[in-house]
Amino acid sequence: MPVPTKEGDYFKNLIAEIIKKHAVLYGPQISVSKASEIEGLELSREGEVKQVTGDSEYILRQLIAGYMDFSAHITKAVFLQILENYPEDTRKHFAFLGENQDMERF
Amino acid sequence: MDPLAVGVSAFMALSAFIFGAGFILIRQKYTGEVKASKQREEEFRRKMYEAEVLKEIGDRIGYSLDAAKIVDIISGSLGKLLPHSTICHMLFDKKEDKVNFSCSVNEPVSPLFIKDVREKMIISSKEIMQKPILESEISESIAGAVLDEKMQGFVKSYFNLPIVISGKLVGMINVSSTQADLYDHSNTEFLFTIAKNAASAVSKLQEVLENEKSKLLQAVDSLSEGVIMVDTNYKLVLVNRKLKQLLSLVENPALFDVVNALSGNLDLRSLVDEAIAQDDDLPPREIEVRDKVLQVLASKVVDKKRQKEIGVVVLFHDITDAKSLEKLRNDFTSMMVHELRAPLTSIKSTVELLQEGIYGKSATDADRQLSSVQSTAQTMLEVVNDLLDVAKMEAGKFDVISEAGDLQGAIRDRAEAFKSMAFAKNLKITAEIEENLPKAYFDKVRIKQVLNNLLSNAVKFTKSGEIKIKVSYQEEKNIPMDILVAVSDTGIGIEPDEGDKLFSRFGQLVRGSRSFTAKGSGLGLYIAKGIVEAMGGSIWYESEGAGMGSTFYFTVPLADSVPDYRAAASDRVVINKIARA
Repeated sequence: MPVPTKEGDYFKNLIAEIIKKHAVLYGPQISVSKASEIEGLELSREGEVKQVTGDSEYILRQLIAGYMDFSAHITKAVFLQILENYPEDTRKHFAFLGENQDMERF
Repeated sequence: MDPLAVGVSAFMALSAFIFGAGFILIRQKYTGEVKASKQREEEFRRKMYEAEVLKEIGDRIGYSLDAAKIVDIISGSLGKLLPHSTICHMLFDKKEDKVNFSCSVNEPVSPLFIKDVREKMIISSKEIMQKPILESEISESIAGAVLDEKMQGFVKSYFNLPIVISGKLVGMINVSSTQADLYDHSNTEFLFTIAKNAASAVSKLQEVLENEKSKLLQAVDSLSEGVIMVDTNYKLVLVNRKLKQLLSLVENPALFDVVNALSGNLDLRSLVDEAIAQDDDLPPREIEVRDKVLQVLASKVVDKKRQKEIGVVVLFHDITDAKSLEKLRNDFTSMMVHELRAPLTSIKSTVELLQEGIYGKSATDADRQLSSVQSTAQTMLEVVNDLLDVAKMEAGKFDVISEAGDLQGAIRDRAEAFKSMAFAKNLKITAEIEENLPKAYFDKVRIKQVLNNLLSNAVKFTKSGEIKIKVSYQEEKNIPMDILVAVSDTGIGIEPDEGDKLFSRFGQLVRGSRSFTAKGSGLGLYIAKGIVEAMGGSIWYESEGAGMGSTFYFTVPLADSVPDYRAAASDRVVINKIARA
């Protein structure tokens, strides 16, 4: 994991990691096409994040909500696992995921 | 040029332009609408088709709890919806640590293609389950078009559809093709919806079943009998709490632990085989395990729907107490027979001698023999009376008629009566009675029965020394409560393990067996307890152990402390019936 200087960069890193992980889980085409739907998120054909425009935390939340359409259980588990490597301040933004809340909060 | 003609010409040209432009716009709009309509129609048709497939999947899945069936049905229906080269699925059998990989080949592909699909599914499953999948765990089956060794190429496009039920990955479906860019989220989204709906329905059904199962398990766990269930493959299905307690098993025992705890006293495997082979329940059998006698009942469990045996339930009923009671009953019967036969033999032989005229000439000899007859007859009568009293108590017909009176008189009378019996054994009887005792509330006849029993026991179980009777009244906060009577002896004493049973029906069998000279039914203390308690008092004993003597205490309520007596002072009599103790 690179060492970002701003919290927004953490979100961008998370976005990239989540897309990569879902590409392994479900296949790259459907994972990338799902992520490409999100406004403000520009991806390469292979799923590399080219640009994040706007509120990166909001885009991250949109991405997670989108992947939850595939399987809320898997996306939540995968995201929480990825999140473990991130600082406490970043994790706090997604604390409600660990509370077994329903996914409509996204 | 005529200006009018120019104007008309310009007007015509403008009109033609406006008309032409309008026509183009209208045409474009029309074309757009037709295109949109066609798209809507196409979308509608696709939705209709998806709905049909969804219904078919729903109907086929029904209320199935079989994850394999669900995965099979969904993967079997996918071919109608999406272009594909292969549709494969993996099923995860967590109990057996096995993975079944199954592939349906729609068009020729290379073995490398299948290997690629399999690898992609394994990587995805490992990520979800967070545990490795070993090659040795995977079994493979491939059906459909023949694999072509000459073909080149890997998977060009694919997607995985994980099936998660109750938070666990139970299966995964993979759709792959040799063509690139076939699948995206928009043409696969509905499949995820199908998978989620099916998994959600199964999860809910499983939850209901788990709740019901939990209730049943709790009921089985709270049974007072030990229960074990073994399936037809000799696998342990359940062990309840009582059996764990009876056999001192660990918290989550394996079948080996149960077999081990039975220490060869029961061949569980043969019992299971026997129960399955029999149509009816097996007859109960008794085994002894860890100082306990257990009655074992085995019966097979049949799946009524399939009419097939699914296991055997074995019930362990602890009959240790019943067996002990049965032994006591047998001992009691033997003792009674012995106690009644001895005086009967004596009476019979004495009467025969009298009939033969052997003592006919001497009146003194005849008197001596007659008094022997009387003594033995008296002993027998006492035994019979005890038996009758117990029978009455058992039937709730034993009356205790309490009234106010002087207890000291009854006690002095009994002490005097037992003096000759004590004297014959060189024992001394003393009575220490507190002066000015208030009036007590008791049955004047039955109190003698209590005192007779305690004093005769004291004489019977004492070889030397003395017997003391002490009578005092007890106070609580300076208020007299009741009269305490204590009968002490210097006899054989009471061992701690005898104590619990001493006042029970067969409680004195053990104590009686420790004294060669003691005779009687052994029911005296049981009857005495019934009488004392019916009069409103209590009875207990103290002894420092074998050979240390014993003291029996009982209390008698004061007349003034009995509400019934004060309320019904006119008749001053209350009848209590002793119910079965």
